[in-house]
Amino acid sequence: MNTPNNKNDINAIDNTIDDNALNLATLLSKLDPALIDEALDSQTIPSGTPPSKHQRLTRLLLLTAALLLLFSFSSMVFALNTLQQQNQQFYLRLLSPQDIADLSLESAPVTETTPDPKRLFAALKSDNIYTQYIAINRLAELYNDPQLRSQAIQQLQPFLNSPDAHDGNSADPKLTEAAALVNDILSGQFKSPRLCHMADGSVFFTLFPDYSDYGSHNQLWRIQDGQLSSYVTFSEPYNYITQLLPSPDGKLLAVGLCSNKSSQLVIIDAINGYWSPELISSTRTLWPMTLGGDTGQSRRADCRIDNETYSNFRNLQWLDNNRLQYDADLAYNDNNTPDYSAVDICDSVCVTYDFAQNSYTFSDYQLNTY
Amino acid sequence: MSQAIDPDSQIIELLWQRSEQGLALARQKYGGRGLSLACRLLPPEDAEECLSDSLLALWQQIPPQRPKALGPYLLAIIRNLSLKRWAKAHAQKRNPEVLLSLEELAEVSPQSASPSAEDELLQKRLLAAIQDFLRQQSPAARRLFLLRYWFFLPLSEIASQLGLTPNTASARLSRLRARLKKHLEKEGFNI
Repeated sequence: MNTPNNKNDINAIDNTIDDNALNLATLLSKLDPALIDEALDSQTIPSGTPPSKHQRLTRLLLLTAALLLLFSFSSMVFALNTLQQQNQQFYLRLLSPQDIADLSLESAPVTETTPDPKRLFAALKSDNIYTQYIAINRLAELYNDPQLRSQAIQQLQPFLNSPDAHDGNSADPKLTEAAALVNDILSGQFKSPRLCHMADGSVFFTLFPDYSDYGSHNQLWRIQDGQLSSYVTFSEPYNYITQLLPSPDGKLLAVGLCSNKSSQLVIIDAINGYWSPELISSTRTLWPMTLGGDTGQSRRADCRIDNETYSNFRNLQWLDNNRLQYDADLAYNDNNTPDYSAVDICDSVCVTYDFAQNSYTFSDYQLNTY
Repeated sequence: MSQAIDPDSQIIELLWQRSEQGLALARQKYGGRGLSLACRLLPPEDAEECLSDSLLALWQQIPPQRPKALGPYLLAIIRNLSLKRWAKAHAQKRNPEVLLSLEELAEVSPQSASPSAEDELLQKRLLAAIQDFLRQQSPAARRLFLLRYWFFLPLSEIASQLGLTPNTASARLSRLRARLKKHLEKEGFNI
């Protein structure tokens, strides 16, 4: 008799099943236990009730849930590792005056604005990379005391000799970069391209060079007649100094600044102490008037509560000792559009600013409506 | 030198002392396999009941019985009771695997396996002939035979356990049945 190959044959078998087969199967129960024992020795005969469909589905769901959990866990571990790596790397978004005074990013009270040299030197040995970074930059403030300056230069050396810092670990590039600048200043070499040499022999610079993606610290320092002084500290929204560009004759200094969404520009007469207005805001106001007519009137230069203008400058250059040229991207709300949006119009225009005349000339513009 | 004590002997001893702990230990050690075997023949709820009945039978049989191997003894009771229940429920609930096993077994079933055969001696001769045949086979072949016709495992599971494909397992079983048939005919059974 042939063995059936599919379940359709089951009913046919069922009807013709030989009672002898059943009796033989029963008889087999009396087989020598040693033979059964031998088969049992394999230890692979399944125990318990075979899984039902529901159980199999439950197991599948559990397996899926376990895999999802595993995936989530792996993702979490990956994210944690990434975060850990990010934490190990230098990242500062915005330095507040309190951060700088505290010498660390921890929330200690502000107790001093003039650095205590001992505290600065101690902070260099901190385990906190940000404390070290602030201390390195603030060492520049010891410039006016020759003895402290000398000590500061010594203390900076381990950070200059990257990759080995004072604790034997590789110094972060930001620390090395800051140490190189401060060392250049304290040693009186003044060779750093970050220093702006003016016509009167004074030197302008910012500390915390390019500490964030936006730029450097918004405090402008000046060394004049061998004395360091803080020239100006900008306030919000002028959060970062992005560019310092002296005029060819070294009498004027263009200072590029930015906030998170806008950029600003001022010119400082370093010799006489005069300042220009903030050029980008002024340009933004003047440009629609220059356009005139309906086109100009359609441009509404709203003043936002956060002072963001969404306007920026590019390609800063001095045309001569008096005229500064830049490409401005100027954002406006459209008076013809009833619904408010952050930016409706963004015109690009080349601007030339005459410092002596406090006048603007516009050229090569492109009008864009969104 | 101390001699290792067989746990099965301890269970049997406990049963002899009429200790219910012996029954609990027997269930703990062989209950899973017994239930698995019963489930090949019966629906799960019936299999559970069959296991309980088998343990009761074990309790009743020991003493006076003193089996040499407790596992096969208990499993044989479970198998017997399961087969009886299966036969009762034959027309209603059927496990195709058991049907297929029995259908295959029918190829080698002599008339003497029938309960109508009054000659009990003939049945004993048949059992002895089958045992002789099995002892002549390789351990792997014996195991293959028993997994299929004693434990009623499906071909796919047997193949998985023995590292074979289901087709290979099926072919080997077929050859094994043919040899058994020849062996029984040689022993004088009319198949």
